[in-house]
Amino acid sequence: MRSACKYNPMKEPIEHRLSQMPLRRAPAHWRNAILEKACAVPGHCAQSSSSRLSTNWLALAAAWTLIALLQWDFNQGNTPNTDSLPGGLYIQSLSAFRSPEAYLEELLAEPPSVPPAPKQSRCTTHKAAIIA
Amino acid sequence: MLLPAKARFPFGHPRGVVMRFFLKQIPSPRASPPRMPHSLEQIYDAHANALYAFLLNCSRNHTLVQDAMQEVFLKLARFPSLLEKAREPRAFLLRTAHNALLDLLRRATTRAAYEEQHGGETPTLLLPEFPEDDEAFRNAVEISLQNLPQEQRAVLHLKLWENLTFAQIAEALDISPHTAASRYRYALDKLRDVLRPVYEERL
Repeated sequence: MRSACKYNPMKEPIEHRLSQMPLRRAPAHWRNAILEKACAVPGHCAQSSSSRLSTNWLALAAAWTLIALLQWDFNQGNTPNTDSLPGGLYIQSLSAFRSPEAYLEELLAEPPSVPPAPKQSRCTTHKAAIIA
Repeated sequence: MLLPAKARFPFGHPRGVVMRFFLKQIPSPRASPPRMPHSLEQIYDAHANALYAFLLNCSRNHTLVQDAMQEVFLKLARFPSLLEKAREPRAFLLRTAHNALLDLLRRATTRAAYEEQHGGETPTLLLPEFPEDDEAFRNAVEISLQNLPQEQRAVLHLKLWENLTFAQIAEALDISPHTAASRYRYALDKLRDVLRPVYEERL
């Protein structure tokens, strides 16, 4: 019996003949099925930049539509901070939008801030008494 | 009385915050998004046929082969760095596929289900449209391959059709190079004995 290390590395005719025989290929419809399942693993398939870009633009458009809707709602005379939008939509962070007039009124309504008098230390008082 | 704007919006005006958030989401055209060096599609196109033929030769069951290939690509999707670390991507994928196949076969429940689906029909490995088509020889090879033990068939396949060295085969199948060499020798001896009458008369 031949040992593994003495095995002739040159291919025998039968080896050559077998290695030349073509093998069956993976069915074409497997490709999409396998890759779709693999890409369903969240965050592990590189999303194409174009689709990412369009998604972002869509989100931006949606946000601006919402802002415009709130602005329009305010211009209709509805007060922010109330659920005046259909469906009771109320967003705290967006409830601060006001018209320029309202903002001006708000500024004017504020009392002028008077800076507090500087607190005098005992040392300063003492010096003032000496000078006097 | 309303508070000053800075006190009311310590993180900036909501409109500005919303704007900045969405502007950050838009990728800069200069900075390309992080991508895998090889996408799954590229890996599939380069290696799927080899994996399929190897798994089919080992198991002779289409459903099992598909599930094992699915396991391989799910693993690659979860851990993309695995393939980057591999010295020989093909050998690494063959090893992963072989391990996936063994895992599927070890599960008693799935094995029963596969055997049920398998039925009596055995898929063939060799393509019939060989240019110098010799149906008798091809059938003889098919039958003699099926009659080989699964371990010998795996080594034979990797040596003949993947041109791997015994060291690579040993790594892929988790055996010693000596075992790989002896399994190959036994398998080839059996094939030679069976195929000699068919083969020699056509020389």
